[in-house]
Amino acid sequence: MQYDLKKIIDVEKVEKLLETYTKATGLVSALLDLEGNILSKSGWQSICVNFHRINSDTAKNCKISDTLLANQIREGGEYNVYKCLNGLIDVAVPILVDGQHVGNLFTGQFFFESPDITFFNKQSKKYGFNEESYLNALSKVPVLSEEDVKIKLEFLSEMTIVIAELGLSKLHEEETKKQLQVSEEKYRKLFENINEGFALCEIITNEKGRAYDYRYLEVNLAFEMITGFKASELINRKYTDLFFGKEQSEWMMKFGESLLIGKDVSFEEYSSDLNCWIQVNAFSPKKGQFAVTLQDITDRKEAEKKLEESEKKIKQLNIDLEARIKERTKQLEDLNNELKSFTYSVSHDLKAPLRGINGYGKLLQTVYSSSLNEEAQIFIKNICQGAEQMNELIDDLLNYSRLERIPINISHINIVELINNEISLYKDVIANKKIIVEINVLKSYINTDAHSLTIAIRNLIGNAIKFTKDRSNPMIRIELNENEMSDILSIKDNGIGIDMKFKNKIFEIFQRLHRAEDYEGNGVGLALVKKAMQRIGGEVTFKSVLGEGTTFYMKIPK
Amino acid sequence: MPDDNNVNSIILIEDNPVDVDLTLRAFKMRNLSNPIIVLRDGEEAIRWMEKLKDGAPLPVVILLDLKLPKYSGLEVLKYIKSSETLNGVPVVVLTTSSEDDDVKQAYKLGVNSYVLKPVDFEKFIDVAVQIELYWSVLNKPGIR
Repeated sequence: MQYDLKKIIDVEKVEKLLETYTKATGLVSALLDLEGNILSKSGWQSICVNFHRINSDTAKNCKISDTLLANQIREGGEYNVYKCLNGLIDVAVPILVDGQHVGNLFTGQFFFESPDITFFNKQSKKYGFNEESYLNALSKVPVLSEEDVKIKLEFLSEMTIVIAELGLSKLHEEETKKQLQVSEEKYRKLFENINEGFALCEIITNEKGRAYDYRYLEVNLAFEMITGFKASELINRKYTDLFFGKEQSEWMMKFGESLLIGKDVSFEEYSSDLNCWIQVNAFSPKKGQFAVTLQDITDRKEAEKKLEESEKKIKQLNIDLEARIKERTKQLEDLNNELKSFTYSVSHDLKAPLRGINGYGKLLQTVYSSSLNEEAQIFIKNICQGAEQMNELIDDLLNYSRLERIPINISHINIVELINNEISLYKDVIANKKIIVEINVLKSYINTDAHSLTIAIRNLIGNAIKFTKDRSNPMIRIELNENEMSDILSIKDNGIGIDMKFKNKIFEIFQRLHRAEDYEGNGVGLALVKKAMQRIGGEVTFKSVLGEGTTFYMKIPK
Repeated sequence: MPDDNNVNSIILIEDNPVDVDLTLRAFKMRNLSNPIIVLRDGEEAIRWMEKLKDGAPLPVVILLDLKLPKYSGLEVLKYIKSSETLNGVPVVVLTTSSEDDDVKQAYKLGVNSYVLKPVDFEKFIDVAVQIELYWSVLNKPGIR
């Protein structure tokens, strides 16, 4: 901050000082700020006041001299002597306050040696001064020793500095005061406006020095709002005079000791006095006193309570849900068991009569064939065939329902062995119809549910053979490829193909695309494949060109 | 009733008369001459075996249907396997499904083999062949 000399010194006081000084020493003096304003001057010589500074030419000299001297000081000179253009001596010293150059103190208008009268005579003529009065004024200009001037000026300069420093410290004080006021105002506003109730209290102790009550010294607006008392009703009143609630009268007993030794206290509780939940934070700013903030936390507490209740409710709902799931699981297990015993009965009891039909039919064919005519023999053949188809259908349906019921069991399976086993089931027809079977398998082992995959492969190979065997050059190609996610087993044939307009129908159970006399079948096979692939998290898709062949793809997740 | 006629006998424990008849016919068609004793439910089977005298000739094989009235095939199997006299006799389970839980259970109880009851009569005869083989392998020549 740049100090302004005018503001830090009492100009009047300095003026008096300079006057007295002039009287005591006979020296003229002037105090100038850095802009060259004369703040105070005294005892100026007539030769300067009445002659040199009046005539415009000599006044120009004065100005040039003043400026030169000021520049000399600005360049750092501590004590500067200069012979002015009008012939007199001027001396100037800088005034430094708090290390800062704030102004200059001048003295001068004297000689160190007796003046050269000839020079001044000439000057009188040159500028048209009245010679007599000019020389009279000259005679009043003192002749001083430089040493003397130096000491006197030093004294004056130090004196000025003392005054300036005094002024400065006063200025500082005022500023500090102002700042303090601003900050106090600020805190007062905060104190009044914060949402938290605030009170400064004095602890009341008994004769043993134990805290048992307290008195309000200061409260803010929020405190009034929370307590319902006005400040005037609270200030200087004891707590127990105002409140009777058990909880709060206890807390002084509980926390008074902590506050007395300067420990902070913080707690939450329900106040029956205030009919709300409060959060209390107290600390001791001064021995025997404590400041307390009070916050109405009823809303928060209620929200917490609600949350707790809803959590409890959710917990209960979870328990109920779990119980229901358990119950439902039990029901499902029971149902599953029922279904299991039902399918067992189906397989056992439904097949028994079929064995009778087929068995006796075959006996008729073999034992009594000679006594039956051709038509009767065809009838018996049809009976036996029907029984066999029925048996197959029962097996397929049992497989289908078993796929729904039996849990999957992922294991490391030898896919090559599995494929070969399934192909060997058809080895007679493969040999008879000269079907070429190619197997191109990338790797021998995959991880999946063996039962599901077996059913899928068995049915797809069965289909491939069924629809290929009567074509010319029948061929089946089985490949295993893989990508990042899946193993892909494909079964390709050059059979009759599938009309793609039925592509959404072929996996439906009991859906057939051919008449029984063309291709036998019960419409369960591809439904079984689809279900088996679903079970292992895979899928079955196909591509086909009618009359050219079909490829089925089994996507088996890794 | 067990007597000397039971030498090399085959025990068939089966309740379904059609299956009994077809089994008997299949054996006959294979010219299997072993006496065949048919027991028609679990209780009858256990009672017959209980009456088997010490030293009386043991059957060469027991064919056991798992689904029987009164006592189930598994219960009969347990009895056979816990009987000191009979536990050495091979037991072949007759079943309609190889994936039947009871078949697994039967293996745990020490059954020797199982035979799927086929619908096709010709396969029935094959089964008779299997049983005949079974019998001839287990029984050294010359015992008859």
